[in-house]
Amino acid sequence: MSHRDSAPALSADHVRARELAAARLDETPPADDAAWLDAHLATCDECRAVADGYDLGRSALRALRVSMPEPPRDLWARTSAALEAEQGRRSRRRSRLGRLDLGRFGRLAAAPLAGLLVVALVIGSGLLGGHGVPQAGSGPGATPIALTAAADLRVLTRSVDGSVNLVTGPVKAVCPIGSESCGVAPSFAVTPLEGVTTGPGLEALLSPAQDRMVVVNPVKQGVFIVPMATPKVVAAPSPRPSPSHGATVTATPTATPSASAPATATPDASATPGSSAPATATPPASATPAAPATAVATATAPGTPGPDATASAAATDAASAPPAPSIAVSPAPGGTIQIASGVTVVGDVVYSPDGTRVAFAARPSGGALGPDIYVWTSGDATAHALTTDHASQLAGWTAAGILAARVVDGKPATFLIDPSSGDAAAVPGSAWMPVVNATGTAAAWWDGTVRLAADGVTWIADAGRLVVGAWPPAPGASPATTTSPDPMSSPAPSPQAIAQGPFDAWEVRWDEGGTVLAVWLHTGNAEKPGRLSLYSVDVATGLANLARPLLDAVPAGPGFSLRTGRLVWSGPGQSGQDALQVLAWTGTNVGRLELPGDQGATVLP
Amino acid sequence: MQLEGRVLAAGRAMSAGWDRDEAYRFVEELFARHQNEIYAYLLRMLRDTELAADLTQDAFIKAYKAYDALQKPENARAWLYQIAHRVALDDLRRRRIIRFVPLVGEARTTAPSAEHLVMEAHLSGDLQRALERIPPRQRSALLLAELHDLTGVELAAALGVSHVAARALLTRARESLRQALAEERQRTADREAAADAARDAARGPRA
Repeated sequence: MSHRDSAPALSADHVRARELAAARLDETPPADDAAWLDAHLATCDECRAVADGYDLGRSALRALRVSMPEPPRDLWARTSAALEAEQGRRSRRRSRLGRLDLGRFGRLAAAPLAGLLVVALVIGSGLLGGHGVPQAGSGPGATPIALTAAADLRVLTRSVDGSVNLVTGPVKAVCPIGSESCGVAPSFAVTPLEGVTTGPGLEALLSPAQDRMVVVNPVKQGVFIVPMATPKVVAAPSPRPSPSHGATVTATPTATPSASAPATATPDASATPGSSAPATATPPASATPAAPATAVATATAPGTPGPDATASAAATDAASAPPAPSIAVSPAPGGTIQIASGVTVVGDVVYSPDGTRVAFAARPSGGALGPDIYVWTSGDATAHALTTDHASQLAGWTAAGILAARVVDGKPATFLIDPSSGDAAAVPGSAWMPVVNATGTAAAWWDGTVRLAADGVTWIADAGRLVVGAWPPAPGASPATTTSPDPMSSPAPSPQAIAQGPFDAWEVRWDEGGTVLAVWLHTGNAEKPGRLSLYSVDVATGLANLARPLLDAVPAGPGFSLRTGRLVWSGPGQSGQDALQVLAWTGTNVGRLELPGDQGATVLP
Repeated sequence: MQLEGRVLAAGRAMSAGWDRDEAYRFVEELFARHQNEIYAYLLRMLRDTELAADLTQDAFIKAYKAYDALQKPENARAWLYQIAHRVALDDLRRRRIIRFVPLVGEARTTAPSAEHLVMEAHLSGDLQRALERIPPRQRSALLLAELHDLTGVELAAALGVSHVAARALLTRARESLRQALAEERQRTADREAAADAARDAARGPRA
């Protein structure tokens, strides 16, 4: 057979061979085709050269994989700006004051966060050493890390005129660890809290639905419920505030409630400024209908003898004890209501898990009585006393009920109180001021002695340690005594010691899943910041990885927020001035932002 | 892909229609996961760093606008490539040119092996010129299949054609590249031979 004679047949085979040679790079050909191709290539130099050419092209292309180009560092900033512009163009919704970008925000003379910049921090080595939080990318690139769920910042700021603003905004991206800048420019919405002025010690708590704010105003009136001007519908989990021991807020009694107060509110003499005599106080007519006195008598049956004679006397006979401080209503412009006056709030305000009720502990301002726990229900005009023993401090509100801290026979104890009936049951052990995780399986608490604070009626941690362990604790585990214990000799194998006391103040929060635990501790000079640490927690065992903190004792002011995937706090920035700090992790990335401000701010839970 | 699915599922559960905030979060997630590869694809299609960055941004903006058009979360990556592919072709069509400029600064992420460097040194110039000579759709198919590891189904989705058509296009693209690459290599060899001859002539006759 001559080459010429066979050319047409060979041409058809060449076409088929080339097609198969190309196609086999993408899919394995059928066995018959593969065999035919191999046989053909073995005898056809031309087709084999073509097949080699395909292989060469593929190899050349794949060689480029080792040098994939990186986008410019500001690409996310450009894209996010364009996205937000597009989003804004489509949106007709505007907050009352509008949504302010950083530049505009920085020009607000009243905003203490003026001049916000975004820079990345150099993270401490502790962050990268633990488990539970993804490892950081270590590359030099400054491409922002987009967060799966935006980290909502909620910050209270004080204006120069004394007014208070709520600053909110999503942080949708953070900078890679180690990068100097990545162009992230979050925007914020500023909402004034009308009728609220502040001084040192302002505390506030945003409702889970973000439609109202509970404000403890130490300078003006007391405890307020402030409706938010621009309520947001956000499927956010309930805040999980925790006590901040020793951080009492003094309220200034206000005038007698106005005539427009609902009938359930009982104006009385104790609402008069300066009044602190319990004997003159009138029990609220609307006091908890479920006979709280009975419940308190049950809870305090062992007595609460304290060094202070007044406190002891009040605690030993709850039924005959002076009534709780008056709770009055002071309607204010904009729908703000005052749910308590003439009181000093002790510790934190907390929301119930379902977000419908608020609890706080308070004592009469200037009086000698200790604190009681009050509950305000949405729709009510006032808060109502849940306890009347004048010896109950609020530890938290779990799905099982309200956790109250008391001192029984000189020893710290915790009681679980039904928020409706007031029935109380002692929690086994001597855990003091526990902060329980969302699932109710683990908690951090004070394990040690307690002492009276300077006011002589509230108890604070003395000698001992802050521990984390299974909840509720096993009876008898790690008993605390009224004498300073030797932590090293404590036989408690289950609870882990987070830190040794004493502390002037401490604050603990869990994330929603109970996978991380943030602990803020403060000792010494009140002007100096405390120290904030973040630990991963094994959900199955409840053990925290204390040996390798994810964040190790960074300087931080009181008040921080911990949610799944992000931690927000206020603390010294690179310049030494207070700044908002955001640590966030998503997927396999972790990043941080620093939002410097010139006066600091209070981070809400 | 699972993460994308969760984002999308959440978005669809929360909104029966076009949910702006969810779309934003969705695109944020897409950007975090795919910005590098989309930029790389567009850069190699267009050979212009600034243009590639601009069109990467455009691609994600279009993804945001077309959020509700994505039917299956598992197709998000191919869907994004489809958008980028169209963005690139639209730009090329609008400009009526194929912009190939020297590529710089590519090797910032991974240190290539010496073997790869040698291969690139021999092939990158020829390859770039060869790619420049083949039709944009074929070039896109090759880049998506060989550099970006799109499967056959993903490739078809990205190109907006059937699986069979995508296969056929890829086969034609391989043939086009083979021919173009062979010609470029021959030209390079000819130039090198001419340069050697010129150097030899400049040195004069050997003693």
